[in-house]
Amino acid sequence: MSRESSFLFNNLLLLVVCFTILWGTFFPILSEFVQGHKVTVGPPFFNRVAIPVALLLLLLTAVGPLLAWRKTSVESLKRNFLFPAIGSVAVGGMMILFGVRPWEDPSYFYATMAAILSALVIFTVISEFVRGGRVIAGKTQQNLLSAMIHLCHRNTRRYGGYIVHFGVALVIIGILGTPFNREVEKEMGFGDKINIGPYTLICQSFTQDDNPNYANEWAIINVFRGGKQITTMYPERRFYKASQQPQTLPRIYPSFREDLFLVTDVYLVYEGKNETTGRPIIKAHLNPLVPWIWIGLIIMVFGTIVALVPNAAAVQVAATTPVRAPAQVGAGD
Amino acid sequence: MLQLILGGAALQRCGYGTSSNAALAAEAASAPRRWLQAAILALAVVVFMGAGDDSARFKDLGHRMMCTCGCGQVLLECNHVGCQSSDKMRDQLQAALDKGGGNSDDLILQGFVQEYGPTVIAAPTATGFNRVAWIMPFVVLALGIAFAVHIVRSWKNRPEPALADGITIPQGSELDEFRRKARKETDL
Repeated sequence: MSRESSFLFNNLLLLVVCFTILWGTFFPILSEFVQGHKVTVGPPFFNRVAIPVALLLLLLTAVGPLLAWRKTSVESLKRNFLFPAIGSVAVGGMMILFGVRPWEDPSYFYATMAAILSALVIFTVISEFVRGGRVIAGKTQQNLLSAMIHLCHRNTRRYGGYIVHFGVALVIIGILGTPFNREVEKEMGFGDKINIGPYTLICQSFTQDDNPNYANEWAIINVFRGGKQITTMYPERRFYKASQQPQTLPRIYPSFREDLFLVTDVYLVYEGKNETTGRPIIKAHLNPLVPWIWIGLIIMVFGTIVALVPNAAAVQVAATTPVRAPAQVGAGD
Repeated sequence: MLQLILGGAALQRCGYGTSSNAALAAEAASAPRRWLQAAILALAVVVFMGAGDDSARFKDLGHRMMCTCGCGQVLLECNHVGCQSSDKMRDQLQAALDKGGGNSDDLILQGFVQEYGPTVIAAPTATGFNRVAWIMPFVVLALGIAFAVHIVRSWKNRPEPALADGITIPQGSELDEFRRKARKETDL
């Protein structure tokens, strides 16, 4: 096992994902040629085939950077992966403890595996920074944080790459919330309520407007949690007169203040209006963990910028070497 | 059920109020087993809760079909406001589930195929030529892994480069000793 072979398997997996997409795109045409009728190759096919391959790719993302060039010893593997592996299994255990049942549904199983592997990536990246930072801190008497920054600056491509991997893991965490999405669609009049998750949405009012550019309808929805109002949202629908095109403007509230790490997007869409009653039809979505996708992307961009920064000079550490005394020149000979 | 078990355990405890020490000890030894049985039962109830729920079937079947309005989206995810096709198909699906009886998932899907054509199913079925759609990506993965393993083995079996006389490249345990020394000296 070596870093070279991990690169080889990494490229293989990327090629398999490319092939899967190409195959899924062309299969309807192939089916028409062979069977005489087309079939649809939609999301269920791509989810079932591409997700396991993507999980293997995530495993390589965690394992690859810690493999040595040419050959990695078993002892080195144990030393590098022991604590990250324990941490990631603990994350999986916590998910089961909090009610996720991976044996009930394939999507829950994939979500649990994605969480375990993302945690493995995060813990291995952190361990790389901490271990290298401790060496630098020991040699230069800096604190750990300054030493980690110094470490990063000494080899920006390597550690910038680690930061990008960290961002990828956060993006995966954002995506793995998908099986837990919830939605409710309801016609809402004055004072009508939608209960979704821990939130209660109450329609305060709805109205419409007209200007030379577009005609629009919107609703004023108060969002409550735990009996307390946390925000007001204004989902809207416009009809642009020049292009004769409708456009829906959804509103999003990320619940950082309420949930912190388990942040959820509350997403309201003005679906339309009941022509008989004139009341708006509101669709409320609860999308857990989605904000982490955006945070992960920002970190990936930051990691790329770090990788482009030129390396700093190596740390100079004084070393003592024995010096032979100069030969004495004879005097008075 | 859990309350019955716990209540039963409490009643038994009251009944043993005047029993001997040996009986009390026996009761204390069996109490953890009763708690374990109650925990297993509660876990089983929670795990199997929701099995066979009609709304879960509606969601599952709705995600296995495509909307026929031309949006290219899964039936339950079609977000066209006032879409005639998805509204009609959802009503049909709900009606098929409400019929009950022996209306299995496959039968319901077959009904939709007969009305809307085979393209209404969102993924190829696992029958006939359609099986090839599912098998091919994994065949490519298996072939690719075999090829990669072959390449790695050929790298391993490459002949060593020629070196000047007297120089040898450390191998095996000798190399591990050098690695241990390097690690110790760099504190990693």
